[in-house]
Amino acid sequence: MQGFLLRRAAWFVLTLWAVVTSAFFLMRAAPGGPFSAERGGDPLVQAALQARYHLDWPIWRQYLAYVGPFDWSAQGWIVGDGSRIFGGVLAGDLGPSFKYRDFSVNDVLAQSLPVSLELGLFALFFAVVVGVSAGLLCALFPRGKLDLGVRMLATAAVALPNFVLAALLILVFVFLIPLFPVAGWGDFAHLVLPAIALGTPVAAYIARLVRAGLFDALSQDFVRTAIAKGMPTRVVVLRHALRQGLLPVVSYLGPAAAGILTGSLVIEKIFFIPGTGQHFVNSALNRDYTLAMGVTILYTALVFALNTLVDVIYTLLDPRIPLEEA
Amino acid sequence: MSGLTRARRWLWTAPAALLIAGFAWALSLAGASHLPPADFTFNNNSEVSTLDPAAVTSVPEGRILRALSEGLVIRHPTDLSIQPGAAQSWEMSPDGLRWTFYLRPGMRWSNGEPLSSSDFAFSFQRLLAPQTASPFAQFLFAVAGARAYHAGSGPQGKPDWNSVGIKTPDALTLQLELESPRAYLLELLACTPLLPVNAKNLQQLQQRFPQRWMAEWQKPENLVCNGAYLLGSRRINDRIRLVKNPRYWDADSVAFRAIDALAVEHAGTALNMYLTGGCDWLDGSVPPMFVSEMLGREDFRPEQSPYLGLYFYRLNCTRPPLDDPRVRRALSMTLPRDLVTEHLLKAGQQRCTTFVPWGRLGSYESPAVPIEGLSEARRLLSEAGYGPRRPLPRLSIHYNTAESHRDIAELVSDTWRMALGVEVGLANQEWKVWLDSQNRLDYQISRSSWIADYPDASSFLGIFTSDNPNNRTGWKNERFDGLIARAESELNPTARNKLLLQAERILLEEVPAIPIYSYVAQNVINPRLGGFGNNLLNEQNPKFWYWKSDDELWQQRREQVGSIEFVDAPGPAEGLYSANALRAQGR
Repeated sequence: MQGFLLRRAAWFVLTLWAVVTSAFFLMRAAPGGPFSAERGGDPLVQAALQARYHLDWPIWRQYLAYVGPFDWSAQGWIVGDGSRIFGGVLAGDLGPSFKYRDFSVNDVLAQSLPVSLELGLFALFFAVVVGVSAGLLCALFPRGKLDLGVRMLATAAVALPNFVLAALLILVFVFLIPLFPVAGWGDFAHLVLPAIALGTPVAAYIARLVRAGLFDALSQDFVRTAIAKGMPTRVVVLRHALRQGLLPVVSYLGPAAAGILTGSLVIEKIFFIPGTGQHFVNSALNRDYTLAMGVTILYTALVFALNTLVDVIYTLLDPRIPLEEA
Repeated sequence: MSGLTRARRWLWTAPAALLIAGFAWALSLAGASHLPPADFTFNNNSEVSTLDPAAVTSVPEGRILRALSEGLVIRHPTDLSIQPGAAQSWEMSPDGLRWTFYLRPGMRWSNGEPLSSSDFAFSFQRLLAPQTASPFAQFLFAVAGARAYHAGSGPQGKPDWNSVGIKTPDALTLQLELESPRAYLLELLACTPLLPVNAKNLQQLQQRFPQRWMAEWQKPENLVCNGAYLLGSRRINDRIRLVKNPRYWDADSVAFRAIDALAVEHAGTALNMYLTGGCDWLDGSVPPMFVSEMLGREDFRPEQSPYLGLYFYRLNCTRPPLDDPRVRRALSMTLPRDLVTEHLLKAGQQRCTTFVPWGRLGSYESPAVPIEGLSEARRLLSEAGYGPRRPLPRLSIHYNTAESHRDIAELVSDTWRMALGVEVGLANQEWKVWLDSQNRLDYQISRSSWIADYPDASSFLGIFTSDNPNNRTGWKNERFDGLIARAESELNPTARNKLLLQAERILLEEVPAIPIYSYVAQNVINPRLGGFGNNLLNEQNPKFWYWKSDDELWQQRREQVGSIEFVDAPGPAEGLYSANALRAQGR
């Protein structure tokens, strides 16, 4: 286990470095810059702004200064007002945001990540509970009306884009039956509609995976043996079959959770939620180099961590799968 | 059962426990981030980039800043006339070169320190300092020595603040010595870049956080300001909470104790929030497909709110065939402005053929533009050497990605094809790319707009001088530059208007850009809101806002003429008035 985690950590560092490097240079290759604006194109002003954020340095030097304090010549470097801005990613400092100039990237993420995590966890909880129970029901009563109905619903939910679902939810639960606030963030009531909109496609996917996995498991020899030996059906289904049936769900949940927990641009826009999802898209549009890098690093770390967790859970669910090969 | 199996079984519960714990944590957080409701909530349309007066460029930022800070002078909420702000009076020397401002005695910053003229001098110096990199430094270029100071030079070759004509004879007097007179100096002083910042506070923070002061300065716990409101809290992409400043000199005239400025970008969401009572004022957040449906309601009267904004097409005057003014004029003559305003926009926007929107501004009136027809346009084209045998080469309209821009461009392109036989393609680009190509003159025809910084014709005409970074057409005209420069320093309004008129005539003759329509402000306002400034800049000063009582609301409704659909006016039935207003009412 320890060896596995150490190896994973090494890979993590390498992956992160590759992502940071390619993202850094890709961002700078896009036309326009963080300070191009409809007014204030005065070359003098532009030059002073570039200098304040060190955008006038050669790109390799910016890169070194961004990644870490590698730029020895910059020690004690004073730009204009006496600020030296970059501490470097290695020091855990993601730099100042170029768009939200009164905030550092660390501040921006510290404000938005808890919101996205909160919404994401709730959506995930909803998705797992609804998805697993629906899948379980289908597998236990296969080819019945219930099975057909749930499967049709699940197909529809996977196919429906979440902004359509969001609009439907708003129409029904805000305007027709005024149960929930239309948008905003703060109360528990604000959480419900966006979490359902965010979690429904995942729930549908999970239901299909559970149904298929459990269906498979139930027809296997060890299940028949267990039942023949007089084990209660409840125990056979929940402890033995479901454990195997959940394997594909677990591997799907890793990346899905990373996606849900970091927020969704569309859901955040429609329900006006101050989460991380919008920063993924807006930072790139705003050429907010540092914020774009920050969210990329965050996402990479989250995907990596969740995938590792998935691998660990795998061996717990099915001890025949060795950790080392995962 | 071996120990390992038992451990495994136990471990299996860990992820589940984690999920449940996280869920509980999520629930506990939901309660923690709850703010008590504000007296008034409005949609500020987008997240502000900064609240540093020297760096602010956008309308949403200006709205917050005007609540937090008060400049020497302010604008009247409806007629925009200049009113005393932090300065209670001022005088101009007869030659127009020396302005003296007398501050109100007894004013205090929000931290209790006295506000003095040196705070203003410091703020103006900061605006001019090259390392501040303010896009609005030129607002002070009329001041003697300011331009050199901004360029990093001075009398002895290095910047010297003492050589700049900003002086503080005493703590309540501020003197500005100008290089040449400026008729609209007071208008500039009422703009956000010239709002004061607290010198001591900023310098202390710069000392304490030499590297990250920018990320600390504008935090609610650190910001010191002098306006009617304080920064209560701030969450990116959510809201800015403004709280009444008890130390503001005119605090008794301020009605709302707390105001929320939301950053809703999605127009549909903003309208939904307004319709369900979550928001009391929207600015321009009516999705185009709902405009017709909203018109006729008492809370949406865009036709009564002309706005100093101009929608126009920049033409690249450096490349054929648009380097020929005759071609540019022919295109302008045949642009279907009426179709754009009546079929696409529908909210009361007006066709515009002049470079000053609405064709007039204060005492200035744009030259009359004769309505010229298709035959004149064709004649101009044939004069330029284009006709049925040699049609104009293919043109392209370049716009930033947005449905409304595309619709207009399609309409224009179709009309030009039918009228002049020219093929016009469309090219859309993402915002920053579009800005970049416009700046590099990498376009033929480019969608543009301009919103006045201050209510003066020079705010529009001035952008087309040769050295103005906002020109972006490659068009240069020495006579035009000369006229604008002379108008800058002319104090006599009649003579000044004459100069500006001559300058605008040149623009109309040369057509470096094609004006299309004048904006309207598309406010959706809770009818209960009082003190709202329906003005040409759509500039609001939250200090004047209050809730009308039912009596006042119905009295005003009775005075309305024509058929209007009355809508719900949520808010306190007894209204919410400032202490001064209550005193005046005898309550």
